[in-house]
Amino acid sequence: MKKSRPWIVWLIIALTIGYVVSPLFQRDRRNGFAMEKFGRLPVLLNGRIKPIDTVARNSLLIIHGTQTLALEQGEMSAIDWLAEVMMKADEADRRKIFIIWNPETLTMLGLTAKPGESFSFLELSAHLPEIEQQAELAQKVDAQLRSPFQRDIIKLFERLTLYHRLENSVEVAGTDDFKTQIDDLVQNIHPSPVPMNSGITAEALQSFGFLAETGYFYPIPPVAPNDDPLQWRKMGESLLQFITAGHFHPAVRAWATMASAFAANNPATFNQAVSNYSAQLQRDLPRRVWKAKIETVFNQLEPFYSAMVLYVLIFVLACASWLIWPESLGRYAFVLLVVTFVLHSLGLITRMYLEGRPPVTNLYSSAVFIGWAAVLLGIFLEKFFRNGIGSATAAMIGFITLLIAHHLSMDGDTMEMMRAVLDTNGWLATHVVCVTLGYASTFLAGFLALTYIVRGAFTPSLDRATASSLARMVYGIVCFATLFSFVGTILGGIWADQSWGRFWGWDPKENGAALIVLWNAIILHARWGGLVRQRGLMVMAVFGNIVTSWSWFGVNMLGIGLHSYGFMESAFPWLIGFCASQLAFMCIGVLPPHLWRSQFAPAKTPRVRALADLSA
Amino acid sequence: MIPLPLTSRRAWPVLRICHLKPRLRFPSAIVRPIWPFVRLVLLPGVFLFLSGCGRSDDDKITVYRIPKETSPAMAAQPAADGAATAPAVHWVAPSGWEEQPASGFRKGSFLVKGADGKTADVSAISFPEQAGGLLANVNRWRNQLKLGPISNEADAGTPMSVAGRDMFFVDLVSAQPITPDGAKSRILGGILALPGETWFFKMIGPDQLVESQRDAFRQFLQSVSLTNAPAASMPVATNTGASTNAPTPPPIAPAQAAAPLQYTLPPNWQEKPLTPMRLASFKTTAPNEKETDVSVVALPGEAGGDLANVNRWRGQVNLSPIDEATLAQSVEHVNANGHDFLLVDVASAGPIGDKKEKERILAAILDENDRSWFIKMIGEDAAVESQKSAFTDFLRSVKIP
Amino acid sequence: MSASTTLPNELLRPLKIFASLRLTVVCLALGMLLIFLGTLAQVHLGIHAVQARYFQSLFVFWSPRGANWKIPILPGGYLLGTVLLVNLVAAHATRFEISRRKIGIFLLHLGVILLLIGQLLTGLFARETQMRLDTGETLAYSEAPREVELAVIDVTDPNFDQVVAIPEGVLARGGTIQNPTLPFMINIRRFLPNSRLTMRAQEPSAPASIATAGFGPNVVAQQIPRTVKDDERDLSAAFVEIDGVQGSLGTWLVSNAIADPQSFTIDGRTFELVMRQRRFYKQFALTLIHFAHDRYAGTDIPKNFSSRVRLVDLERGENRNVLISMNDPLRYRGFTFYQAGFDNDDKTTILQVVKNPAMLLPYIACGLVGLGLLTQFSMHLFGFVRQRRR
Repeated sequence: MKKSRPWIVWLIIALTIGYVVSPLFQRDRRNGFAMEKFGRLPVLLNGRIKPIDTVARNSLLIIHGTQTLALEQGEMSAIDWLAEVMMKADEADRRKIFIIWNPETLTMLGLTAKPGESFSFLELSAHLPEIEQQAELAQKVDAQLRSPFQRDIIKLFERLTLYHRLENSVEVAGTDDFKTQIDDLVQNIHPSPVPMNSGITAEALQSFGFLAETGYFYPIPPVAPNDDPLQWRKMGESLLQFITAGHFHPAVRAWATMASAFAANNPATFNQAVSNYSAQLQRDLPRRVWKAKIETVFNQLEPFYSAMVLYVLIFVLACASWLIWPESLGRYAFVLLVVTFVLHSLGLITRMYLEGRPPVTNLYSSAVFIGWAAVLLGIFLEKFFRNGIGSATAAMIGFITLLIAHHLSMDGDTMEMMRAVLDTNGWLATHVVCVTLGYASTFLAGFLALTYIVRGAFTPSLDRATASSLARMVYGIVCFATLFSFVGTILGGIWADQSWGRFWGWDPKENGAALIVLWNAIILHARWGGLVRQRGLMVMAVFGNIVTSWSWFGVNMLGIGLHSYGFMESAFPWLIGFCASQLAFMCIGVLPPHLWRSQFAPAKTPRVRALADLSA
Repeated sequence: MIPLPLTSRRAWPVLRICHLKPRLRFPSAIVRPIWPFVRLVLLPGVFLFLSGCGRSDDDKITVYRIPKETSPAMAAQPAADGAATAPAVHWVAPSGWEEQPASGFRKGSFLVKGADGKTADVSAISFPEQAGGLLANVNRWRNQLKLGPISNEADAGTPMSVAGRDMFFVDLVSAQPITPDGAKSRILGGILALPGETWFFKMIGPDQLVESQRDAFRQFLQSVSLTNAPAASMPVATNTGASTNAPTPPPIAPAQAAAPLQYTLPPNWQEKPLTPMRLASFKTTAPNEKETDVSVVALPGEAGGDLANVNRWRGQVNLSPIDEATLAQSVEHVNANGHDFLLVDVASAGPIGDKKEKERILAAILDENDRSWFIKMIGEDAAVESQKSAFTDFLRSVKIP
Repeated sequence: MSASTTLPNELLRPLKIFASLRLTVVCLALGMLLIFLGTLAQVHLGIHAVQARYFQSLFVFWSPRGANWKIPILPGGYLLGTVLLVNLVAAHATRFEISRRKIGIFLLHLGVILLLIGQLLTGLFARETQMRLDTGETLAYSEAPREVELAVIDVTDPNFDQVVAIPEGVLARGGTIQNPTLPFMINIRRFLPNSRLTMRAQEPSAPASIATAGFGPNVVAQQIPRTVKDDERDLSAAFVEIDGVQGSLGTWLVSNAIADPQSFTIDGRTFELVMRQRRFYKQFALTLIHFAHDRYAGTDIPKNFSSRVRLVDLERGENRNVLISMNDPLRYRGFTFYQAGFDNDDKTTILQVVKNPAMLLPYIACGLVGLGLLTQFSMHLFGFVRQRRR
């Protein structure tokens, strides 16, 4: 099988597409309830209108650490779980979803359990006052100085708070029949500007106030044609408004009907209510509904997850092509790479559409974008060199960055609103994109160099031609990296000058970007000056990985400066590990040539001159 | 200082010329003749320039005339935080105590050194409000010394008067060696409750050393004084940056309802935190049984009527609705304390959803005083069965207001 | 080359050393090290101290704790920048020839030179101050957030105040100050860059104060280390003695923690003493009309901050309303006013006031560098692609 065959190419494309869209055809497990449609209902949370499916996934991610809940038999989707939490709290309270890893937390709670066991809200609720007190104490300590126990107890308290707020978003947790309550309210209340004159009981008034204060998201939309996000209301706010003003949005009754039907295990009524409410929203807020629908599909497809899996496959295929059937396997890997890149791009574009923003807005999206850009460059390299190296390296970076992105998404919604100073699409599209492209290309150069070192030192497969083509790739990519990181950094300075009158403030993140520029400049100058040859270039490019990872993540861990995004303690060992591994590869890179398994004579010219000079 | 702008201005045209006339062989024609100048003047000049001068008006006394200020700026100084409810607390440390930097919520910190190199730690800490109450805190200290908790406040320590207020003096010694070198540990403590905050003064260390410092510690407690002008008039530092206030989550514990419900708690029942709807909330934890959840809810009016409520519960356990006639047959009445409860007991035919056991609801309805009372137990069939008698006992003990 | 004949060898040799590519690489590497260490040092020293010690200095010094000697361990930002600048110029003087192929590199290096010069000039001449305006308040001055001054104000005239402002640098040197407009000398007896002030009543055991007049005797001033945090401010204090012809009038304690001026009379003129943030008066005044703080729906995430101010300049006859918001500053008479913060429950705005004569250089530099890199690398790329195609 030396030549690639067109039908296999088409088969690969078809299979990949099939794999990617397959999640759309998984049916709901909860008998009879139209949970998919329910999941598409838009609500407002953290300043953004999003489908409740997103709220469910992110909340479950924060509380439980996964996007689906593993049960003894089968799985429960996030939206099923959230519906239960909001509308059937009695049952949800007994689900063991709070995993506790810290032994000290368990001791504090007096629980005789192993770390990693999970507990239900019911079990933990008895300890709420202690948890709250301990968390409050821990919060007084500076974030960076907190012990693992203090961090864990704060996290636990936040998870419990989130759960508690979710429970009280639609109805007061434990309400059996919300619909009847609302109907009673409408019949028996005589709205009055003074709530106590309306005939409402103190308890009911108190419970509405509680709902308004505790509710997590805003389920009640503004009255059409008003489409102002500021006009969305919490359930409790709408009910309080009814007592004084005498009217509420029909959505209140719709949610109440859904809640009662769900609690009473009555799918027909529930589905009818969802369907009616969806139809009304479709009339009132068609654009929001459309976006919510797109986002739900996006959630279901999880394109970045599929892409991650595919990148592994591509990497394996490309590596295999160096051993057997170089032409056909290399070709298949390339085709798969292009298809996966299209998927990656679609994911990126969907996010941009949903957010209405350029691709990079936070650390999460920077990871997604770095992977995307590295793969794009890798495709170009592969197109020119056709030796599988572009595919393998691109796939590796694609996989690693998406994995990082996956871990970054654990904190909840990855589509956050932009804080005041960042709220300019112009700068986000230029400065941030340029700098991130700089990161991506520096990483690509570094990983290409890793390929060189690994293949050269551990396998006999690195011949002279491959080595010199790798050198050209690395050199070209370093040029590219210099261009983007330099321009991006200066653009950042101009942005800073525009927004607070300081071109350069020696802020850690700025310094990090400057380090990348300097390092790339050093590589180029060292190469031009003949200070390094082929292997020296590779070793220097590997160090670029360390510089870039420091600039990307390391500076955030210092917990200082304008760009600090909070202390990421859990990522710290990984960063150290990564840097150590790169140093190890650099050491291998400078071993004497006879210790390498690939024996190829290095270029003979005493002064390796710039590629430009050679090619001209 | 060297008038440096001159030299830098001289250096500029060089660059400009190279830029404009690219054909010129600029290295030899232009730059080389000026090299001596570059070397002799520019370099030392730049250094002197950098080290010597900065902004020209720095460090100069200026004199100017301005119209009289009539601005309200002085009056607009924000009052110091407004949190001046609690008086400021001061103390005098006995000689020989080494003051340590205050840190975190430690407002005062001292190191006491013994003759044999052992040390004891003295701290003054303030917590907002009651900080869990006297007993809880004494028990916290007892726990540090591996002593069991006590339940009587009278055993906790002795009151003493400090600065015209009651302070609680605590003296605890461990029953067994605590420190690695096998010595017992002792805690001396003073707890001072003030409006809005509670202060804890504590000395902890090896038994012998702390024992020898008891008088000094009591003297330290006696030195505590309060002033009503808090240190706020001297703010240590003013925060001038834009602060981003994270939204504070609402408290988890709901506000208490006006009158708590009175009842006797059956064995194996535990109280749970209340939610606004629930007047009382329990879980039952009988040995070898799964937990069940018990709730007491009162709603105004008929709340939909008995039939609707029963059918709702039937729906929850996957049973079909019934009509009025069947209702009369399927429920029983329980008379407790002169109240006539309607007792409903429904169980699912089999496991529901992903559960392994049958679900069961045991509930009592009472219509009285224009309110409907719902007392409901929900859980697995077997667990509810074993708690059925406890449930009726509970009904009898409840005092319906 | 004809050049070597026009210049004696002794002059060419050092030029070649300065033009060496090795020097470039060494400088860039040292620059990386400096930036890296400077970033780490910010954790403990704070950004301002690091800026002064690492980046706006010739050498970074190290001294053991408690010692009063120091040794340079690393070239500072100014030194590295200067050497790089010289290196670049020298390289172009000796090695580079003007040709089409090198035009990209040339533009790029020109941009870098401008960037370095711009940063140098900014470091030396730019001044950042702040203007803190309550709603309705009018101010004609901005304040240095990290620098104090001692203002000696002659308030005798019913319409005008005559101010003698003594900056922190002079106070820190101590000694006696004589100014022709003042009928007395000012003796700076002690200056505390950062201090903790407590009422004497609370610290009865403290030693007696050297202050003899004003509120000084009732206050205990303790020197504490300067703050390194970005969001904190030093509270300076000084003991100043007023020395008239007839002898000393007494010693006053002044501090920027205490806004109330203390007054004394000499020769029938009344003076006020006050320590405050250093002021810079402008030829125009700003009045805050309204500060707006927009948030995203249902969150506390700020969406925008903006200050509506009235700009009044009697000299130029300006009298207009201006909106200063995030990313949209007001530029007037060489000053730029940026929205920097807010306080006091959204009733106070904090504007950053920057005067930077070298402001334009980075913009030009950016254009040159971008253009240069783009030309150079696209030439590489096209050359490479053409070669591949063949």
